[in-house]
Amino acid sequence: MNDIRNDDDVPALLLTPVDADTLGRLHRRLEQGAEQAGLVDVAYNTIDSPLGRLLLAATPKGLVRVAYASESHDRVLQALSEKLSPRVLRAPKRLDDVAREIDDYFARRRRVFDLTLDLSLSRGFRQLVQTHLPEIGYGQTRSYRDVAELVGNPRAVRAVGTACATNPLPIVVPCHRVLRTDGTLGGYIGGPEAKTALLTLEAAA
Amino acid sequence: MDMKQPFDQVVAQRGATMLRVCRVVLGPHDADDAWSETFHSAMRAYPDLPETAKRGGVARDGRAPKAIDVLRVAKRNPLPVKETPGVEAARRAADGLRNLRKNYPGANTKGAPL
Repeated sequence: MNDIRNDDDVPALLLTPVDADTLGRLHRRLEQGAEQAGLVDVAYNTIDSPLGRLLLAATPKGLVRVAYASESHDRVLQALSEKLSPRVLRAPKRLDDVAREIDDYFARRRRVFDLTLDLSLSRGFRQLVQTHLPEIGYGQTRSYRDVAELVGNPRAVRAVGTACATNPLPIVVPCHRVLRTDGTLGGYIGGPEAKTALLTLEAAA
Repeated sequence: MDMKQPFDQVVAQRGATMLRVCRVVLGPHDADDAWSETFHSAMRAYPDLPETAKRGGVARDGRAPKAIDVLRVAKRNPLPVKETPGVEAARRAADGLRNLRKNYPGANTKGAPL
């Protein structure tokens, strides 16, 4: 293998294409080694869903972010790098359970997510609201006012709206089940079509 | 605030070039190992690297010198070569001594006494 190398070959060797399979294999090796060494502060993967491509990201504590394509996955990853840690690596294995549960949810095989969540991207009142949102059952809806009462602060209706709008874990933390008091849709991070689609999915069950 | 890009983007941007360099420097056999160790070390050091490192590339700023390490180790190991340089050197040394004896018959050919 180590034949004497002519220096004239070097530019040619540097231009030799590297096939995607090799890089994929090396990446998996990096994932494995980095996981074993505890270096992956943020593991992520992207999956297909009926609502488009979803980004899933987890810290060692649990699922930390679910993002719609409309949020720009590159921007979301950059934000995770800045807020949590730049040791962000595509490591699908860590997201296997999450991907399976989301698949099951869209296939109507699952009504409750059984996942460990990391709500460290939110603080204070927003985090409190997001912690309580899973109490709204599958197929049900509540108003922003109801949720304000649920968290013991009935006058904080607007703050509940903000907490829902900044939910880092859409779909899994069901902010789509919160509507305006008059029954109209209200905003949604994935757009109104996505919110309607989720409510329709759950209503059909 | 730390504005570093996600490490996976460093791998995506530099992975192919790094592998080519490893192949040129080390040959195909050791290139994969060097690549893996380089990015593993780079990921370990990444949060502590200065902000400017992202422009020059983490693999080039001297904190992930695995390829260089592997190169150094490889230098100490014997390399298969077409001709052994020692044979040629011995032949030339013998020629030199023969010429010395011929041209300077009285010369000391054993070197200075210790």
